[in-house]
Formats: sequence, structure tokens, C-alpha cells
Amino acid sequence: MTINNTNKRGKQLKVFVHLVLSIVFILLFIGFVNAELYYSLDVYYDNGNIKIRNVDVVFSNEPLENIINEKYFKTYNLEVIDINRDKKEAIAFGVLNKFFYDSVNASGEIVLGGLQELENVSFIVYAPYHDTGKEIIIYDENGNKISEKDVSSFSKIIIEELGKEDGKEEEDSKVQEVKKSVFDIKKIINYKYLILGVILVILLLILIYLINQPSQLKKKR
Amino acid sequence: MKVNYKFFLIAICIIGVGIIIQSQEIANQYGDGRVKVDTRIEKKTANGLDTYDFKADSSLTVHYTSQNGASKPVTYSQLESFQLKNGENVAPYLVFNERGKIVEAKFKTGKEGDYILGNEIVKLKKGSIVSFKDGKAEIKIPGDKIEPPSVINSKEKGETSFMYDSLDGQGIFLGAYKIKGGVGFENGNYFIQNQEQLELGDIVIANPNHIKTFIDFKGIINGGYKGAYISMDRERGVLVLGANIEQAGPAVKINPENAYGYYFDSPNTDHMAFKVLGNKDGSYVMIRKSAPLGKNQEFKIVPEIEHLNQFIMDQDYKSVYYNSKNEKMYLRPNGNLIKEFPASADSTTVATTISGSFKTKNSRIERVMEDMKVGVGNYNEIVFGKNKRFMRVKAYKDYPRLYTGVSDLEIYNYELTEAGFEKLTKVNVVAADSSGTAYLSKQSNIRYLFDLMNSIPTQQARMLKRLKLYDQVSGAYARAYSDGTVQMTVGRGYMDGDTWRHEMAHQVDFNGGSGRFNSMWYGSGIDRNVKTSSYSYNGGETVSEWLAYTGLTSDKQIKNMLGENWQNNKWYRAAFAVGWHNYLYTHERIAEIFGRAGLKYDKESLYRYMSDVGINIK
Repeated sequence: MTINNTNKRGKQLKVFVHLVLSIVFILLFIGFVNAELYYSLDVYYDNGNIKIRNVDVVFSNEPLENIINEKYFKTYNLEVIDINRDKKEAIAFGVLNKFFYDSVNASGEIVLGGLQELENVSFIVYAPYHDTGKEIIIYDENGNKISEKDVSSFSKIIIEELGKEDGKEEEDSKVQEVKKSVFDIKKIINYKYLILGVILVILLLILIYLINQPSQLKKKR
Repeated sequence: MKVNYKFFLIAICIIGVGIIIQSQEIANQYGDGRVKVDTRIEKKTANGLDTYDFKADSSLTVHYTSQNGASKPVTYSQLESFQLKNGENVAPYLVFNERGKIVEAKFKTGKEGDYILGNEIVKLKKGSIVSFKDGKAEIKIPGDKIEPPSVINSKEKGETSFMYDSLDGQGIFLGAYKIKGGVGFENGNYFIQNQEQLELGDIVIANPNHIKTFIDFKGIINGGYKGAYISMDRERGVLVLGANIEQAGPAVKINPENAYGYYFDSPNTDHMAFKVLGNKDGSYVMIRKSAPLGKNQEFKIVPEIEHLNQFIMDQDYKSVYYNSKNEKMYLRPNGNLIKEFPASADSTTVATTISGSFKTKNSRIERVMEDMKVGVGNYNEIVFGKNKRFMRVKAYKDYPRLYTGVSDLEIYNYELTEAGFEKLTKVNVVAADSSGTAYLSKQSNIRYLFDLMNSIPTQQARMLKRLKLYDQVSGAYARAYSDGTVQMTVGRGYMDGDTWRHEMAHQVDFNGGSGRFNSMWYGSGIDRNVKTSSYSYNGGETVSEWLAYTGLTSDKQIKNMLGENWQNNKWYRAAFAVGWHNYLYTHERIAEIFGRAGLKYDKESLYRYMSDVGINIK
């Protein structure tokens, strides 16, 4: 092998390593920007019944999960239905109506206590956001529908239609602002994915080309 | 009309002879260019030097050709005499060497213009006073702005050192700062040297030994300066103090209002000073404002310091000192080392981290202390450690394994408040009554809460949504709610750390640990085999009691409770390992417990302890 060939291979190897590192970096970055929107449901539990008191859309870099622990909690289910009545999401959550209490003696040792159940309690339930979501329905542990809430005001389609219609009663400007920011965030995430995807494809193509290069050199020889 | 040509010829000859008689010409090779001097002044020659003494109507023109070939005359006229401070009158004169270079001059300018001194052309206003000899020019100027001299021959660049000062003594601008006592210029760079002490923006420079100290506003390390230097970039928040000579640079004190990110919460007592001790291989201290952390950059980080070779940092009545000779870093607990800025015993610290520590050895740059760092907290604590986010200082008296420390998070140093705690931990802390309010009003309590949060894994910390503090929790001492609320009693101004860990274990239990906690703890039989108290026999209390008894206690206490040879008990080993796997313990804490018991604590070993009781992790 000549010195020129060695140098060429060395350079190729260098480019190859850089490319692999770039791809790894992009994949890590994609993981990093893997932020999601969630419906945040303020639910009120009262003796087996549940009422969704309020719904917000929140943005989180980390997955927002509900506690499901059959040792302690009844498991209820939740569905997100879209405007075509299709089920977009089905998730479970525990009814968080338990607490431990602990009492101490004079020397500060815990000597008394135990697990208690609350008859009524409010807590937060998270569900992945869908921009075509129209309704959220909650089912109890036996599959009975026990609560539903219209979430179409957070739907992209509904908001866009509302924006086109004149003369309709205007929503509270603050609410509109929040909803707009929700879609702006969504757009940013999608935009980032698109750019990173294109870069990733280009890098992969170069990588494939470079992997094929040594075999071509061999053939030439 | 007949023209008398003879008359004209004779007249021209007379004028020509006159000119020849009255003018003398020096035409010497001068570096790359060429210099010619036209003058009608009588010159005095001695020792190969030509001296021209000026009178009021004297004029002397130096024609020089610069490197780009352009020829330009510089005329010295209207040079005036001036008085020295001692009253002595100095008459104007110029001295040329054999090469036609001006090597000595004293004069006061009677007009604005260009003046050559040595190899450089100086623009001077009318009334400027020049004393030039032996390559040093002292120039007093009217006004407060210097026009930097330009070089004639780049090969001889930097041979003249200029020192400018204002005639009125009110100072000269160097960048945005007006400096009294003189500003030097040498080889394209500005320097200070005359001042014993000088305030320059957000720093105070003490230079009693009059070390030549170059100043620039780039904020970069510069090995090219032949002397000490200060390089500052307020926009980027970078300050570099360096000395590339075997002599200490000036001492520098940081002002409370500064661009480098230092926060002086007690401006009257906070004390922070640096001194680079000098090294021919280069030495510097670089202070750098840190980039904030967080999605919205809400968490400010204290400034970082990097150093090369020997230096001193004085903080409080203490010093951090790196000695290049024995290659050791010292923390001096009593007394300052920088005598130029003496600190009183009641001075306090400003939080910072020495995160980069380097030395030169055999012309190579090497790390000092490997990956160790020096952390300085806002509460007069200086400590070595690896993790700048938290370096242990000491354990709490009641909890031998709960540590307080030094962190590079500004909140931990300067925002020990309810709001600061909420911002950093995302935990909603609620004072349920006046005792709760009183508890949260104390900085030491907030720091304790931070330290408690720091003692648990991040995943466990996320399970705590709300911390409610009561004089006395209703019907109990503490409660743990499944929505992530923990209620604690703080009636006597005290919150029990073991109980808090107990309640947090309930939170882990409610959340199911990392996913398989029920089967690992309850299903495997651990729950039945690791009872630490009679209360452990209550349903769901075993894990909380286990954690309360082992979370913050000493090895001795663990041995007292579990037995001298507890490490031989497979249930105990498994309980700790399952606790680690399910966010009850940090890996650091498991390393402490197992390490001191002589047990391995790598991932595989921990899995093996679990498998000993039938928990298969893979």
C-alpha cells in the first residue's frame, strides 16, 4: 500500500468517525428535544365518582405519568376522543385517595399510624395531548363511564375555525394566548424534528457512501 | 528689452550657495526606510550623536520613507521650553544618532502635528510635553485621549516605551476608563505601571512594586505579554489576570458591582482578591461568568475560575493558594496572603468554584488535583470536591449521613428562601400556620430542606409535589398523601429528618418505586424479613421504617440495629439493593453503606444481592 493510499484511508476514517459522532449527537439531541404536551386534568374524586373540574394543556420535557399501583389504588381509565369520535388515547390512572399518618411518642419514635382512605380528594391526572382531541372520558374500574369533559377548545382545528369566523363571541384573550402558545410550541417541536431528520438522512447517505468507498478502492487495485 | 542673464545667473548662484551654507543634510540609511534631515540649526556633535538645540524660530524637517515607499516630511518647529516640577527650565532639543534616528528629545509642542520619537510617529496636540531618552518617552498631553503611535519600521517595532499622562492630572482614557497616573503604550499594547493603586471598572488593582501590567479588553489568556497583564471583557464576563514573568503580578480585588457574575450579598464585608504569582512558562487566573441552567435559564451558576501555575485567592479571612514548587493546593483557614488588600476577621466569602487547575511541567500543561475542584460557598466555607453542584462540608449533628455543603447553584448560596426552594426543587412548600411561616423564614432551615432533598435520588424528589409545614399535623406527627403531599410537624422550630425520610418512603411505595417495587419488596419476602421496629409490623410501614433507620444514620447505628455482621444477611443486603433500584437511596449512599461493610456495590453485585432472595432483574 502506498503512502498516498494510507493518507487517503486515514482521512476517510477521520471523516467516518466525525460522521458517526454527528449522527450520535443528533440522535441524542432528538432525545433531548423529545418534549411533549399533556392534558392536565384536575379531577375530584368523591366516593367512587369522579368529576373533571378543569383541563389545562401543559408542556413537559419529562414524561408525565400517572401513578398506577393496584396495591393501594383503584385503577380508572381515561380516553381521549377526537372530532370523528375515534379513540386517540387510552390511559390508566390510580385514584389517589390514600394517605399514611404517623404519630410519635415522647422520645420521637413513630409508634402509631397507618394507612387511611379519603372519601373525597382532588388530584391531577395527565394524558397525552392530541390536537384533534374533542372529548375526554373517564371510566371506573368496572368500565362504566363516570365523567366526560369537552376539550375541543384545545383542538387545533376548532381554534383555527374559530379564528376564521367573524362576529363570534370572542374568547378570553388570555385563554386564546395560552392556546396559541400551545400550538407554537408544537410547531417548534415539529420544525426541529423536520430539520434534524433531513440532516440525519444526509449524514446517513454520506456514511453509506463512505462505507462503500474502501471496497471500491480494492476493486480498482 | 534686453535681459541681463548674467545678473540672474549670479543671483541664482548666490541663493544656491546661501542655501547650501545655511542647510545641513543628513542622509543615512535608516532601517528599511530612508531619513533625511533639513535644518538651518547649528548641530553639536559628540560621541556620534548630533544635538540640535532649538530656538523660537528654529525649524527642522525629517524626511522619512516608510516601508510602503511613501515619503513624508515631519517638521519640528515652534518647539518650546518647559518647566519641570522642581522649577528647572528645559530648553527644547533633539538628538539624532548616526543612523538619523531621534534617540533623545525634550520639548513642548507649539503646534499640533506628527512627531517622530525613535521608530514611532506620535500625533501630539499643541502644548504636549515630551521627554524622550533611552527608548522611553514620557508625554504629557492636553485632554484625556491618546492617539496610539504608529511604527515606521516594523523590524524595530516596540523598541520605544511610551508613558502618557494628562497635563491637568485628571487622567487619560483607556477604553471606557479614565486612569490617573499615566497610561503606557508599548509594542501596540497599553499598560499601567506608575500607580500604587488604581480602580479599573469593576476591579481595584494594587501594584506597589510598579510591575508593568498590560491591559486589554479582550478577556483572553495571552502568553505574548512580556510582563503581567489584565485582560477583561465585561460583555462576556471574563477577567484574566496573568504574569508571564518570574515576578508576581499586581493584586486585584473584585468590586461588589462586577460583570463577572460575582454576587456580593454583604457588600460591606464580602472580600475577594486575587494575585498571580508569575511564571516564565505563563501563569494566569481566569474568572468566568457561568451560563445559567434550566429550560428558561432560571438557575444561575456562580462564576468559575481556572488557573495555571501559582496564584492566591483571598476570600473571607482565608486563602486558597497553589504552590508551583511543591505542586500543592492549600486552603489556609486563618489569615490572608494578599497583603495589598488586607481583610478583617469579620469579612465574608463570595461563592465561586475553582474548576480548572493546571500547572506547567517540563513545558507541558498538566492538571493539578486530577478532577478535584475547590468550592467556595457564601457562608465562609471552602472545600475540595469532585461534584461542583454539591461538595460536602460537614454532616448534621443529629444525622451523621446528612451533609450540608457548597454548591455552585446561586440559589443554594443566595436564595435560601421559600421561593428559592420552590424554584429549584419544583416542590410547593406551604406554611400551614404561624409555626410553618416561622420555620420557613430561617435561612438555616431552608438550607436543611435543600440538604434533605439532596440526600435522596432525583426520581424520589420528583415524587414530592407539596410539603406542608404545621405547628402540629392534625392527629399525627407527619402524613404522606398519595397525591405527593407530605405534611410535617415543625412546632418546635425543628423538622425531623428521619421522619421526613420515613414519609418519603411512603411516597416511593405509593409510586411503585421504579416499576416493580411491589413484587421486589413485598412479593420477595423482604417486607417480612427486615423489621427494624415494632412499628414496622404495621402494613406498609416496613419500608418507611427501614429507610428512616438507615437513610441518614451512621454505620455504627446501622450495625447496632442490624447486627455487627449484617452484611451476611441476604435479606438486609437485598433490602438495600432493592431500595437503591427503586429510588429509596442514592448510589452514593449505597456505596457508603456497602463500602463500609466490605460489600461490593457495583451494579452487578447489587443485582446479585437481589437475586439471592429470588429477585431476577434481567
